[in-house]
Amino acid sequence: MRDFLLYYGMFAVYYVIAINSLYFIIMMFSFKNILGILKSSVYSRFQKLSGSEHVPPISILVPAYNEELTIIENVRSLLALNYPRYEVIVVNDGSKDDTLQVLTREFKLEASAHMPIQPLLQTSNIRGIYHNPAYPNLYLIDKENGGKADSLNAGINLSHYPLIASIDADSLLEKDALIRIAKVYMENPEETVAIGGDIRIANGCKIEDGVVSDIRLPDKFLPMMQSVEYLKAFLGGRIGWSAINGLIIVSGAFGVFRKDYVIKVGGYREGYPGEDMNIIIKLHKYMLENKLPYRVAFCPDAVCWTQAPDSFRILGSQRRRWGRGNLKNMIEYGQHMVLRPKYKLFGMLTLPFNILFETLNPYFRITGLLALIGYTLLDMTNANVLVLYGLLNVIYGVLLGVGALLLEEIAFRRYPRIRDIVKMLFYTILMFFGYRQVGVIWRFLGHIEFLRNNNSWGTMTRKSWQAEGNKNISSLEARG
Amino acid sequence: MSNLVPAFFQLLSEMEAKQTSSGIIFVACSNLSKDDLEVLKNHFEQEPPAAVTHYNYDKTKNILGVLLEEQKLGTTHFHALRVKDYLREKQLLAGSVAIASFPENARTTPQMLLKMLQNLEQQKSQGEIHIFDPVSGGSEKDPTSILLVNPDQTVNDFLTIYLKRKGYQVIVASDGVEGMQKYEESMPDLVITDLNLPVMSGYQLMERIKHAENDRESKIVILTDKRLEEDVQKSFALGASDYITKPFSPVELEARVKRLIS
Repeated sequence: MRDFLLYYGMFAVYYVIAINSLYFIIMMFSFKNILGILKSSVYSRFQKLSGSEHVPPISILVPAYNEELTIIENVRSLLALNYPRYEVIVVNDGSKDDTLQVLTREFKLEASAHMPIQPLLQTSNIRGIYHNPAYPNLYLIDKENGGKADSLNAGINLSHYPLIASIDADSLLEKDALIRIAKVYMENPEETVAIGGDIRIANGCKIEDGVVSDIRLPDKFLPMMQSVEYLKAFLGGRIGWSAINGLIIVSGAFGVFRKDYVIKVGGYREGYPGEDMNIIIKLHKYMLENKLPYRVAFCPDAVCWTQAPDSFRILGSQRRRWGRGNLKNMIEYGQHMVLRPKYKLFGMLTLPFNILFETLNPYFRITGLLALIGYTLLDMTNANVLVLYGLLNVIYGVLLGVGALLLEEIAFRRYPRIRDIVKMLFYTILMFFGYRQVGVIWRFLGHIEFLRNNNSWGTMTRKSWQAEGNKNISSLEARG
Repeated sequence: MSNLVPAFFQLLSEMEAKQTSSGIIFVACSNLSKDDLEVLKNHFEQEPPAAVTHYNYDKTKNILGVLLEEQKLGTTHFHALRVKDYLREKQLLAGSVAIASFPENARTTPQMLLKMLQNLEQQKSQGEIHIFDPVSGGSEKDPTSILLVNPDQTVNDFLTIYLKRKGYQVIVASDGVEGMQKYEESMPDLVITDLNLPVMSGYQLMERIKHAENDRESKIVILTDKRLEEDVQKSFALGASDYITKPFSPVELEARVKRLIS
């Protein structure tokens, strides 16, 4: 028994080494790519591009469910993007609050009976389409509740342009985010099927008229943790994965897709969370099966600011949902695609990596830890194995976190103050004492929920941007 | 009315008929006698430029007028410097100097000459040379006001400085709602607006301006990144007078603005 525990514990140690080494390699790819990205964004003339005839038009899809507090600001900010030709399609997914009324009142939208809508994808019943000629590029679809994927599909049916962008209703796009993504698309329009943007945490920032006017780190603990976490995931991870065309997810909060391929793979999947990962897996599968050259790109300088949950309850529900969606996708596609040479790098590396190191992560880590604790309890003389396990986790993790910070500082410097850098560094280390462990447990709970067949969306209560902004001003006043 | 105006106007009209320009210098003097004037004439006739020069003196207002035939502003300015120095030496200089070249600076009308004289009388400074400019300098009491609506702070700052130096009064707004509010407060002669504005777009702003109560109609110039045909077409349909795309030349912008206002 003791030996078994030790062997299993050692296995967990090697697992931790393997996972972190792989993350490390991925991050190296990020480093390799970041300078190129930096140069291309410095030497590109986005300002000029944002008025050009040659930029492809984009339909922005905004699924909204109970978003009456933030939707106006969000739509206003979307209507003032630096982009030559685009439309904003808000899809009210049978909200129980006044999302529809708030929008129709604010923009004086009126139901139009003759709006052509193509039945390309199956959606739940559409109750009406609203439009106002004074805002010619704003549309509002009112439909019965069917989930986020269903709303996106309804948006695709109405959209008029060849590219679609999906944006969460609680997120704010930077004014030139879309043009930066379009530039990546225009570099290779034939092969680019999807492009993801960088998601950052807006909590703490000052927001005016739907524009982030003063970039600040969050004051609260949980948003700050997520801020560092997102930085690590997006800059350290996704840039690297996109470099080898193995990106498995384009965040649902902000991504741009080629509409024709999204339709060819059947649109977004309903019924389960994780539709953002699902659509990317389907695109990979479709392109590889049809032997078409393609790429899924990531554009780290196209920034979307999102509101992070600031209570354990809501964050937990979000993470459990992610766990559920991830497991569903891995089971559904893993069995057909893993280690099949036909699926090339995606099947041979990305998917196995995700199953072994993302989906099954909680099990290995928790059981490994338990085994080592058990072993130590049986034989106190070898307690150093447990210490080794802990140290390995922390040191490797901090190293990766610092790497991500370095990427941020090299390329973007959104938080220029030294105080902010120190704060981020502190939280990068702090993350490994409690926050990460809780995250692993949430994911595990998500898997249990999946197995118990609970696929509800979970609640995500929003706060008004306005309130957030005012609060910040008052806290600033209090400080100085 | 000063006797200088009809005399010079007649000369100027003759020059204009011959399609040549002529320079005018007005100097505020203190008690220039007839003899002094003759001495002055002789003094300058001995030196180049060998231009036909007329000297005239208004006794009531104590203003010396000089007209240089077939001379442009440059020569006029040079001559004015010499006249000023001469008068200062003789301690006859009492105020500032106004120079102009017709039709280079302004249309040849008695009103313009009168205005030039009035400007000279208003100048209190001693011995400064003012070039007469009826567009900006000539109407300092009521400069042309321009409302600048642009979300880009850098463009706003830059254009404000540039246009202010050109003699315009500049009001700045950074979004559509602020733009409309400032418009109602100041009723500017001209609005320079972007199309891509937060809160209220440029199109909505134009529409509101069109329906706003204003006794004189404000001209609208679009200054934007957008280069799509639809945007150009729609802007003109909504009553824009001009459409300038970024990156833009401030010189060109000012030239177009000037044309629209005069």
